[in-house]
Amino acid sequence: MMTRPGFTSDQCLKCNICTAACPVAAVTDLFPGPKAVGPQAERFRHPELPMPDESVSYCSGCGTCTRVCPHGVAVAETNIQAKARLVEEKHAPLRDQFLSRPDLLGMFLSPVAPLANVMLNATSVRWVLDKTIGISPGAALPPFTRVSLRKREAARCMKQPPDPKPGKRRVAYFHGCSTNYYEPELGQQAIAVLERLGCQVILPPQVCCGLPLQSNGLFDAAREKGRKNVSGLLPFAEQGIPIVGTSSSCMLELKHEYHAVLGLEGDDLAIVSHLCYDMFEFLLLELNDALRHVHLTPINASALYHPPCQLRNHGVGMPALGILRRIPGLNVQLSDAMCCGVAGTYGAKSEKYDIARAVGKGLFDQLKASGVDFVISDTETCRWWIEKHTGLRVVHPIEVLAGAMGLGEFRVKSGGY
Amino acid sequence: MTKVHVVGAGLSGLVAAILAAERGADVTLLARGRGGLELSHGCIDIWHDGDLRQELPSIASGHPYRMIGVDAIEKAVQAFLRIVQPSGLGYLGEFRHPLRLPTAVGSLRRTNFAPLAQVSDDALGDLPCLIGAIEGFRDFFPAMIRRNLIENGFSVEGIVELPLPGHPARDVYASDLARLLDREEDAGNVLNAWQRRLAGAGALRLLLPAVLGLRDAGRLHRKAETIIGMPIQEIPTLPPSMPGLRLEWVLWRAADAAGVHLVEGPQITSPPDVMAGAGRVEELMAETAAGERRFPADAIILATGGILNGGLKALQDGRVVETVFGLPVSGVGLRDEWTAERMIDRQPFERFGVKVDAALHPVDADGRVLLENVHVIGGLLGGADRISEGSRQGIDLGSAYRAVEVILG
Repeated sequence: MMTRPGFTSDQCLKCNICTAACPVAAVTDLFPGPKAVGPQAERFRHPELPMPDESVSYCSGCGTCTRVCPHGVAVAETNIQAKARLVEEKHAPLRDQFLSRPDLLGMFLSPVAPLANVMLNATSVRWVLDKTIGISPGAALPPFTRVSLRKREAARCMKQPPDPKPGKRRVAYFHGCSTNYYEPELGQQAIAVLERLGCQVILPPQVCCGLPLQSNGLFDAAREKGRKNVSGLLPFAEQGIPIVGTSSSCMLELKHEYHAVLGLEGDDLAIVSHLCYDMFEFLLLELNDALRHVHLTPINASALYHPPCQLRNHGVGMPALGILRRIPGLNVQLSDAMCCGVAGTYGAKSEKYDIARAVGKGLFDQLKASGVDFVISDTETCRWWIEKHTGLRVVHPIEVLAGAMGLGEFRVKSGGY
Repeated sequence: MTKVHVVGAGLSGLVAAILAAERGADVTLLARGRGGLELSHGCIDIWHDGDLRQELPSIASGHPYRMIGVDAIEKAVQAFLRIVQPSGLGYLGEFRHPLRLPTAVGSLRRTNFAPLAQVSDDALGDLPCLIGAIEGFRDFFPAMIRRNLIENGFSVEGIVELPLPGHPARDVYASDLARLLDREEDAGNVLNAWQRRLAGAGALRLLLPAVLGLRDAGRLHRKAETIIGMPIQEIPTLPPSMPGLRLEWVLWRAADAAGVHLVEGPQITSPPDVMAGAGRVEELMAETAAGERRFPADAIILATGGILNGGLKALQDGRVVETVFGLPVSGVGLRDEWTAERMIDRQPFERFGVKVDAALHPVDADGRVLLENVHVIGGLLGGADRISEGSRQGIDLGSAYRAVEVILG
């Protein structure tokens, strides 16, 4: 049986290490900090009485608190569950329902991508979205693409694992909504890198991972996504086929959150989640020898790598950083910032936007001072947000690696400070 | 390339990782949760009572210092000072003569090296103190500090209330103040307000809680002294401790610059039956978000800390276990004898830990090496009473240095 995160509150020593690390408490009075709204407030939350306080809604869900806790308190998990209780009591606003469903947006708007993109970038439309439902005009809404990854790679979409090709290692690629509807080229590059390293890449059945729903407290809908993904991925996992993803937030959802936050149970989930890998974790743990034998052409440029909070919460370190630093000519410096601020859909909300920007200020200042040519980050919402606020080109590490491996043209620069 | 895994990212683990990476090893630093440094005063205690070089022969034979040797400790401290030098924190002190610095309750503690902001300039050491009480900051106790400092022979002029423009509308933590002061504009407003408040106070030394910045604290301390026109001495506060956080940050950056791979989050465990096996550890198991992952290693440096830091765990049934490999723990008597009567007495549990040989290999009660590619450093080493001896960071640094020397020659 799963330990309920709230019960780990008893292990809290009140050392405030989480408060000192929290990127949101650092910039706003509205959030009293993870210890205060987590293990401390948990004592005042009766399962049958209304929630006594709403300040937990300012938690961005970055998960830093749980990672830094020296005593095993599931601070972030406790907080997201408290947020979900608030949503249950008050119902989620239309805006949150909208932001939580990138899959539906993609399905309906991709076919009319040119029109949708113009509309969503129009100042007047953004003004209306802000005033009516509370989506900040500063929110980064990426452009839709006309032809999704699954359409481009239809031959790879399979419900059951194919027989392995001789000498090849089968890999199931979890692309997530953003790669499917907004950044299919990224997915194609990921496939190309895996193939060059001796893999046979399949696109297994998949729906939205459910993280946006979960972050907005819509747990039932998120669980539904979780069950669908587990059953779609199970035939692959049962044959020991690794499930590799380029979105570190989707992959954390599959690896950990289905169980620890949404409370999904069972052997099927355990088999699937244990075989889930972040792309660079997989490259480092499983394909490192092949990667060391690949010729990397120089990329003469300087870049800053910003590891997303969700990636840090995988507990596998920053595997992309070490691999990127092998590319000749490329000088990769590490971000000093704990968080870029956007935390998925948090920064898109009108009432949270200024906080999210303040969280990101450290990163934006570092980028301004460093004069790097481009930025690298593993999660889509971080990339779009950093790009929106710095004007710098922000790429997924796989795009850089694919460029160095000669599998795609890699542009170093576009705009910037 | 030797693959070295360091488990634990306190002072000892971080410094070991940096030194090993500097010597060309492929180093992964694995840490579950933060703690060691975030709760530390940021100083380097080596030995409270005189010159360690002269004292060493009289220290008990099971003490970690007897295994590390005084040369390694001196070299380790030199290496530490070199690593932190670019930070501008300005560590001052001497190997042989401890400094005497005020604590958060106004008693005096001895330490060998401290960041400049905590050390009162000797030339001005006789200046009477003025204790600054920052508006809204409750984790600092000026009246108690005043009373105790006077009892310790200090001349204390009084307590001054210092206003806090930009005061957060909630409980203020030391980290809030430090971050506020890290912002150039806010720092200017706050320091100017303090300057106005203190104008005409005379030739005094200002004692403040250690909140003067996080990222560039050395510079901020000098700036504050210039604006206010008084020497300022910082006193470490209740956790999280800003001097500890500053040092942790400096060491993280140094680790990244040296090429250390930092993996934060997973609990590290041993492959099953490693203690019954061939006396080597080929890989570590890490409990990641997706469950267990294996990390193959040539050498392992175990820096998980003592009973207060997760390296040792006391069980209900009276056993004390080492949390990664289940190494034997020495010094554990009967459950009733673990603690002394008063909290500030010497605590027997402080001496619990793993026994090692001169190469810092873990050994059994008969001195036989248990795991030939594992080296134990820092707080996990048994046989020392770090608080009363004032030896904590000396053991941390000395053992880190020694382990790297053994592994990489």
